[in-house]
Amino acid sequence: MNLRISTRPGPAPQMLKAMKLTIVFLTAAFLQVSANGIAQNITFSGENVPLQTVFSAVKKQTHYVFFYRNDDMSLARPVTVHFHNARIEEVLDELFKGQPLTYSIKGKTIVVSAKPLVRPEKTEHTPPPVDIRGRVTDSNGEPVSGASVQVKGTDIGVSTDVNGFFELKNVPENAILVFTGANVETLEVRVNGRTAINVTLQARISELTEAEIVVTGYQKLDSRRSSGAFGYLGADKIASRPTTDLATAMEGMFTGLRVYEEAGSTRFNIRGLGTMTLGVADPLIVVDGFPVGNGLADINPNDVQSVHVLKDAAAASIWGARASNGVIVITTKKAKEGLHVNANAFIGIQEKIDLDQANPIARSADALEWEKYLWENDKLFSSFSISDNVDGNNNPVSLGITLLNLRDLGRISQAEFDQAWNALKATDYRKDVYEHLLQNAFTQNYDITVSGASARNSFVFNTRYVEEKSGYRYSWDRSLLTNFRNTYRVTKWLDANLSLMAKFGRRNNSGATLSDIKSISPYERLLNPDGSYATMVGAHYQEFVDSLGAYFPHDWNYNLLQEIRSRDLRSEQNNLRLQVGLTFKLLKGLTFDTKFQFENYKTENKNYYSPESYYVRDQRNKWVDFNEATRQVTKMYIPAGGQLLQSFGTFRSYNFRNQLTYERQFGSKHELTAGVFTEIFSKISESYSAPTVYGYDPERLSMEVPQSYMIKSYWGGTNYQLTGMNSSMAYQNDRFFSVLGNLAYTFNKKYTLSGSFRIDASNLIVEDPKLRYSPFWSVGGNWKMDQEDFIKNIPAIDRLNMRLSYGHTGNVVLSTSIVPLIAISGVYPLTGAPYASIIDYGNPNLTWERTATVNLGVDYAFFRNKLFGSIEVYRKHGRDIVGAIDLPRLTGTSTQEFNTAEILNKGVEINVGTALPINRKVTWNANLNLSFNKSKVLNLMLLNYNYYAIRSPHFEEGRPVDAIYSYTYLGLNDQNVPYMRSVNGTTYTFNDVPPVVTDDREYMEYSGSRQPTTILGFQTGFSAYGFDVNVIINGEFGFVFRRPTFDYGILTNSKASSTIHSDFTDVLNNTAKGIPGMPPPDVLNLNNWGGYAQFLNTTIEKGDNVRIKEINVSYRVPGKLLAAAGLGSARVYFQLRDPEWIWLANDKGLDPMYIFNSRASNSAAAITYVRPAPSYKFGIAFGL
Amino acid sequence: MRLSIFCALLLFFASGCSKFLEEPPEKRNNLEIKDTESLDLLLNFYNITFDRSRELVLATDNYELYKDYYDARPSTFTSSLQYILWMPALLEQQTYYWEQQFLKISYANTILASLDKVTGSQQDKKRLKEDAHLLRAYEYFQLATLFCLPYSEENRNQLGLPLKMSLSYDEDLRRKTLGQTMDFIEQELKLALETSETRSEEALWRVSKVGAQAFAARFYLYLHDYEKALAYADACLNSYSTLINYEAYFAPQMRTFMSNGGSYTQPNGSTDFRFGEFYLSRMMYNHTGNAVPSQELMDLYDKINDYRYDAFMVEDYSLNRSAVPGWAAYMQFGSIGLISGPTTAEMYLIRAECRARNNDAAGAIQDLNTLRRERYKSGTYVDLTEADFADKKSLLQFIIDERRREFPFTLRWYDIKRINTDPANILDKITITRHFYEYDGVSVNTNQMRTYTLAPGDKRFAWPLPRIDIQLSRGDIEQNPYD
Repeated sequence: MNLRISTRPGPAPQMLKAMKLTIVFLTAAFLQVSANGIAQNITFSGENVPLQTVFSAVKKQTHYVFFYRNDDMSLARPVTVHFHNARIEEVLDELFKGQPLTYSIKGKTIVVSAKPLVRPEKTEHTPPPVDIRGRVTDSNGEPVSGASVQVKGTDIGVSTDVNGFFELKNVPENAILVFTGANVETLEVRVNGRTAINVTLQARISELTEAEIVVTGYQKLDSRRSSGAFGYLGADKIASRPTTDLATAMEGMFTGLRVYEEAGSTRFNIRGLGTMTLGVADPLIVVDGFPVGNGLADINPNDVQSVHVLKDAAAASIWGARASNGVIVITTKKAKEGLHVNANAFIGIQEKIDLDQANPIARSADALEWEKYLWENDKLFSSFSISDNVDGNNNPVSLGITLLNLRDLGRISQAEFDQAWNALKATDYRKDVYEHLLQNAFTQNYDITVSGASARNSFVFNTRYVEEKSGYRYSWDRSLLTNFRNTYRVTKWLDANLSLMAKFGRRNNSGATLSDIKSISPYERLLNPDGSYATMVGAHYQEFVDSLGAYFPHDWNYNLLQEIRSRDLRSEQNNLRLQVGLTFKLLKGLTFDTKFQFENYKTENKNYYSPESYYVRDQRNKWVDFNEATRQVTKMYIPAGGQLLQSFGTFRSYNFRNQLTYERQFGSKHELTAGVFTEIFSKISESYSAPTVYGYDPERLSMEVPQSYMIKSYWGGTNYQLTGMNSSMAYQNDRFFSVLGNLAYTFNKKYTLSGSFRIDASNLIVEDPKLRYSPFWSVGGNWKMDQEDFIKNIPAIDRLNMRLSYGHTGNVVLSTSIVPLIAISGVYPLTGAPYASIIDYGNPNLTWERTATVNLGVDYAFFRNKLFGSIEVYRKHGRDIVGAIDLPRLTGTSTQEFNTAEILNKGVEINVGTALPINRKVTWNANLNLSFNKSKVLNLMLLNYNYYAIRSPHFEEGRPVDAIYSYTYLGLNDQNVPYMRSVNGTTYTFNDVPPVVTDDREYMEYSGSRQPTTILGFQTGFSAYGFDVNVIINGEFGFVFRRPTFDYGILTNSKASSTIHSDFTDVLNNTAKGIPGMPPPDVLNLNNWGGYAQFLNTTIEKGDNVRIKEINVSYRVPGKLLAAAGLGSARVYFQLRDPEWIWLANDKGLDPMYIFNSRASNSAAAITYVRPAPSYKFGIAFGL
Repeated sequence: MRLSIFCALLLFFASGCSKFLEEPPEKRNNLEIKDTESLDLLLNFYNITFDRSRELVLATDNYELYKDYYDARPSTFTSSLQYILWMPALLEQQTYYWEQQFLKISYANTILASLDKVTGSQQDKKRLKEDAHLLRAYEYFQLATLFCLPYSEENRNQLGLPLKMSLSYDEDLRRKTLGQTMDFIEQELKLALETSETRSEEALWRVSKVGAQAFAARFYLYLHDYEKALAYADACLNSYSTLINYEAYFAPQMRTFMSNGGSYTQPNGSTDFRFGEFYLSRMMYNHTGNAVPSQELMDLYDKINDYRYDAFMVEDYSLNRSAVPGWAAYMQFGSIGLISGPTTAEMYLIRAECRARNNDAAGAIQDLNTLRRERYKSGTYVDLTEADFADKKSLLQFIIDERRREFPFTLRWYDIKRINTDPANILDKITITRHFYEYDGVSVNTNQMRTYTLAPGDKRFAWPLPRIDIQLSRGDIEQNPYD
């Protein structure tokens, strides 16, 4: 196939060719298949070849694995054999004819052992016991640590040390030693009087060299031949960190992967940000070969065998158009021989959130001080639209402002005012909030896995129940997650796979949210001293409620706690995933897979507001006809009773894949792996929010239809629409068709050359269908230097491997379009006519984003594997990145997205690990992941750099991703007005309107980037006497963030006095650092002050931080106890997470991980979210 | 078995993936424009038709900036001073009105760009085409009256507008001359006038014959082409001449909000696009909430009998804290919407003016009486007669004043501009004068008074274009010169 680096649209002809080729290929394949349907057997010819050589040929052709002891093999004689399509039994019979060895077949394992020696029936004397030393290694020659060596039928036994050595004393000469280990097959060895016994244990069949396999989602490849950069996390590491979500277990475990929280959800970033479109910046998540719709949410960490992070093009380009942000491939556990039951349970408790950290607002007295200041200078700020007419005031203001207004209108006396004012001053909202809205979060997690494998069938059944009591009272989350996977070997040439995932989740969201808490003024209370609900600011001016409320049918006072208790906000999730597959072994080395995945995720939200809720009371009171003269409500528009709001979401996806893979060795020097894949993928998201059910009674399921759709409010003659009557619906169907292929050739077990190509097409709206297709490709090489003679002889080097790759991945940006797009918007209330609006004017030049990556990697292991790791160097160049470009407004829009930008990410990733025995019982292990990344935005043809855009993290040509600008603060000028310096040296004050220029960078300075350039993940611990202690330390360096501060905010008509930042106290006392003191009373433009003060260079802080993220302690119950309890294994564990042992570069104690200066939001102060409070988990895991 | 699986696969691929990929990615949202129905839905987006000009409310002599009002509550005015005092250096930072106007124009451009590609009947396409042309004519005219100098033969070569006529981002954005701009609007209008759609109560913001004719009357009046203006006004009134008697709106009274000395009456029904006098429905969004009427304007009314004063002028407006008791506000029909599209009232006044200019005083007075009768409290109106007017000029002046009374915050800016360049030169030219503190664009110096004037011929009659567009067009768009 002729593939070129094709830019810009137009690969349609090639695409069609590719499809035709696939068809031809498939056709050819099945013709051959029918001709050679039973070709599953062994073909081999050799004269005087060692038995091991035949074994490896058999293994390659049949997947049968041989277990043997080197000592035994030394007895074997070379053989001369010729097999053609011979059955395994025939082959084995032939091979062992006349050998001093015998074999047995156990599943797919062939255990080779020495023939028992013919001994006299009885010996005259018992031979003297011997001391035995030895070493246990795996098939790669690497030591197996922690394997148990036991004298069969006795209690005598030891474990191997980290280097695989063991020593047993006083063993009967004719004893049988039983070697068992976590991931290796059990082996029995006769002592036969030897004092040195070295054994090689095979890795368990299903996990054959698990760590050595790269799972790309399409194939499993030998990592030692792979040219790509990938990270690996195994089940053991995941299991050592009790967690309910996999994302947590991935933190710090990979180089190049940043796991962080953004606005409440966990996000991943592989090797820096590669796109400017937030919605498509996440890596692709693949579970058991299929991209899944809801990320890591439905994955039970205890069910995960491995996680692979595909970082470079060679690894990820197989995923083509969705791989620019990298790929995370998750492989679930496979069954092991026999029947296994594993259970795991833990409970976790978390401290209450720290309000001072989560909601850093000023204390009551200070907040009131600011309100008073604003009130007194109110005519300058245009802030409060309170009139002296009680019922003209529809909008709420804070309690402080209400008091001031009452005083000034003479409705209360100065004395009354003072008393009320001082009472507010003395009130602190925190006590009530801690007591009534917050609680210790409590998690329970129960997990059981039953798995088993026999010759024909293997299955894994896993169920987990999680119950999480939220940190906010009245909110909880429960879920039951079940996985069932079965592989059935139908015939020798056909395997059938079935995998089912079902998750049922129930969630109660009735409790307060952080934003509820943030809307409480610092001087508001939830409960009065007598325990009754305190009056809090609701949706209306309180004086109105107090003086006229009595004329309305319901109590019109608002209280957050009462509201929480009067509502029941539920959410249900029913998620199903089904994967079925057939694997045909067509020819020697040739496998055909056909797979299908169906996902169906349903979410149902049911929000019930009881008649007692403010939500309902307010509507009932407000939407009325009112007779002014008689002061009577003459008509009510809202039916009595509760209200039910429901919404439904469905995600459905279909994925159908066919793949043909070929893997074969030719002679001793040539190995070839190749694959051709086709994939069809459709994902459909639908949502529907139902019209509000009025007059709803949850017991009787009765409801009432409102009498009239057009309603009137107490305040105005205008007609309004009844709210909640418009149901909204959305439907989205993204379809992809892909053809891909790859090829890897290894020469002499040393040199591997690999390549892949992929063509993606999607159902983008285009005028010319050929624009739907886009090609991606990669090439790479791998050099196993440790196989070279000049290195082979250096004993210190156990492994040395060099990789180089180059290729393309892509990204589909669906937020913009090639042709104009419209949205149908229902009926316009005023006109009663259905209408539509233009969503996108279309950009005919639009194309897919693509990223070219060069990666150079070295894998190493030194000093008998005491030191191991990898080093990667990469350059990731994103081209045709879609970015919004400012346009003259006369185009009808102010921005449009064009593929103009480029993002360059360069980096180095270093992984160093060690496992050092301190003595026989104690091992120290450590793993360090260091990732350096430098990004730069290129060719972003932005002409307009507005201050509001550049003061928050943004994209800018020539700067790293997420650059931030600030005003250069100079302090107070000679008129005592704070002032700043522009780039050309001129100054301007806080009172000046910012000069309007296209490029506000003239007036601002560059402060740095919000993206860390260095990420540290460090894990270290000891294993000793059955204890494992592990500390996880994470750090991020080389970035800045903007500290939220007092914003000189003018209170508008709202209850939000709670947004006054705690820095205000210092502003008031003139002790604020970095921001000016109180503005003089004649300042006209307080908005300017706020606009400047929050974005001064003095609000920039260094982001560097290191934290102890977790401490995990576990204890493995020793074998003797286990045997007594009838258990196979048992482990108890404890985890301390987020202990708040943090080093921060800034001296304010601000944790940058949880201060998110959003790219999407312009307000630095608005988005602050909570650092998780310390949590403690206790658990137990055991296996039968 | 294996054979059949493979055959199935083969068939699947043979059927081709192109069909699979034809499925549109979304319903309801992000739809491709495929039929005339979609285009109709776009033109039904009533919300964008709002006229969002602060300028028309704040810049004329019908608005007044009272020093004492300002002193009592400066914040009410701080963000408006640039409009009230015509300050191009500040105004060029504003983009809102410009942006909103071009949003409408881009809808029209989308319609015109899509017509050839969509399915639908020829009649529908014809109607949509006329609708789009009318939309472009109307909105470009609004832009021209604000951002260009007043129209006159002498000013034809002055700067006009950049004419965005397609969806292409590569279009020439250089400004045409005022003459070319007006010619373009006329050409668009002519295309719209080809329509045979009738006035529909339910879709008054959409194209109709009378709607196009009514706008034509307004357009030609601005071009001082009184003959054509008269013809179109006449044509309109011959088709539809309903006037709304205001009595129905204000008696009986609905609800009175009492406040510190002031009261405010809410009319029985607010107006919207269905207002019965509309030929083409357009509402103006009165951002400031309380347009402060000048004394000169208030003095033009019969304060007791004329509903346009009694109901619309809230003398002691204090409902909103941003207002100060003792000062008046203009609240047409109790809402923030001002009637700005061409109405029967406007056509009567255009016809009256043209008749008066044509020396048909009797005809003019008849039109005035027809209109005014519906504005007065019942039984209080006394017909005007020819005897009430000394000469042609006083009659014309009365008609212009009647226009002020009828459309104080929508058409006055346009009237001042056309009167100041009227080649007939009958009426006195208009100079707007304000007495206010010294304001330098940053702060108000309350120690220093200053007189601000906008005299005929002032370059500031052409509002500055948003600076951001000038910059983003990389200099293709030229700013108005202010010396």
